[in-house]
Amino acid sequence: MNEKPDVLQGTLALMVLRTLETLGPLHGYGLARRIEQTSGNLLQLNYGTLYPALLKLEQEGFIRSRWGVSENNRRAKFYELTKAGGRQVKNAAKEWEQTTAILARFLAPAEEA
Amino acid sequence: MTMRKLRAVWIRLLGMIGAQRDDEEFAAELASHVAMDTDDGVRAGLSPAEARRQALIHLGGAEQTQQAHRERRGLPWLETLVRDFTYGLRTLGRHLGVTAIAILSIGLGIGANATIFSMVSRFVLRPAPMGDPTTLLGLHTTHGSDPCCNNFSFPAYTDLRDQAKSFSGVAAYYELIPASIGGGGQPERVWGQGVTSNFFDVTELPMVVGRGFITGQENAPEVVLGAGLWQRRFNADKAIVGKPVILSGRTFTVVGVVTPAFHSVDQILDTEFWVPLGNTR
Repeated sequence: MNEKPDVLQGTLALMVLRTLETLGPLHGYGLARRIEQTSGNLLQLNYGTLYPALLKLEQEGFIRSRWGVSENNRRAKFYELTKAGGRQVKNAAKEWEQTTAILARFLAPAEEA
Repeated sequence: MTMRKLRAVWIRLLGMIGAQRDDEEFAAELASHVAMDTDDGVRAGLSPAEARRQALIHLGGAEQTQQAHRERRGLPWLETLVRDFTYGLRTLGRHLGVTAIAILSIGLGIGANATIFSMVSRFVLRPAPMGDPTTLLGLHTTHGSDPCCNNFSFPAYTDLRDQAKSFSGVAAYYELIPASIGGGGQPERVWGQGVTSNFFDVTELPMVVGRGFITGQENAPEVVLGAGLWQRRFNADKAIVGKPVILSGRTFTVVGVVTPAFHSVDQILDTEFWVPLGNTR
């Protein structure tokens, strides 16, 4: 119960939703790889933490899942965005932009001085 | 957002049912995850065994992931609570003697409290059903430094009644007197009070039947019955007014029955009949 996974979970949810929005349905492994790549490999994602986050999003109705077949012919569970999920991406993105903008104001003068 | 949270809690509640199947399904999902990660490792030039090892490291432990998933699926604290509760019940079932004693003592505790409360409620919390309690005062004499509650002598009472201009009426009552009541069944000991003839007028007590005493007739052989006594001994006879009742060998005529909520001015005593004060001298 330390702080790190918590912070990660909050941002992880948005990363997942945004990735699904741009790429369409993906399985868990594909999502994990994709998030890693998008972060420019700066993010060392513990793949295991992804699944509880996916489950939470599914319980909240932002994504849904079904079994399918992967590009390499393996059975895998695919996740896709729901309509509510699409709205959530926009809301969360706006909130996040606001937060970073506010934080930027605090940090900018200190750098100039 | 709150709706979403509620929805999630509901699904997690449902998730507590059929946990076995969900476990199997998630195990399959993880297996496919590891397999795909291994495939990628092999393609990158690792040996299959090494690729699989790396895949498991990436996952951060299959068992830990399973556990985190399981906890998110249901409501772990609720499951724990339910398990503790059933464990408690089972333990109680195994120790029947202790359980019986515990139930008995808790029952007695609740019973005693309920009884005490009903008495407090009756005597203390509920005011006596007198006409206008806010304009009704209790008068006491004090003696030296003694702070409370000495009785008036009868002449002091009559002076007060005749000369005090602040009151519309002054009535007096005397401490409880025992009497045996006979006739129509087992003799019984009942407690009553001697009161001045204007007592029921001053207190403005409602009567179930009949009336109070006639003011000034302090020695009239009349009695007002409490509703409890009237119901118990006289079957709530509406035609009781005018009938004789024998109290400790003396015959009194019933003139009225007072409202059931009235027991005494301070509600603490359970008075069951009232006679004019002159009868008690």
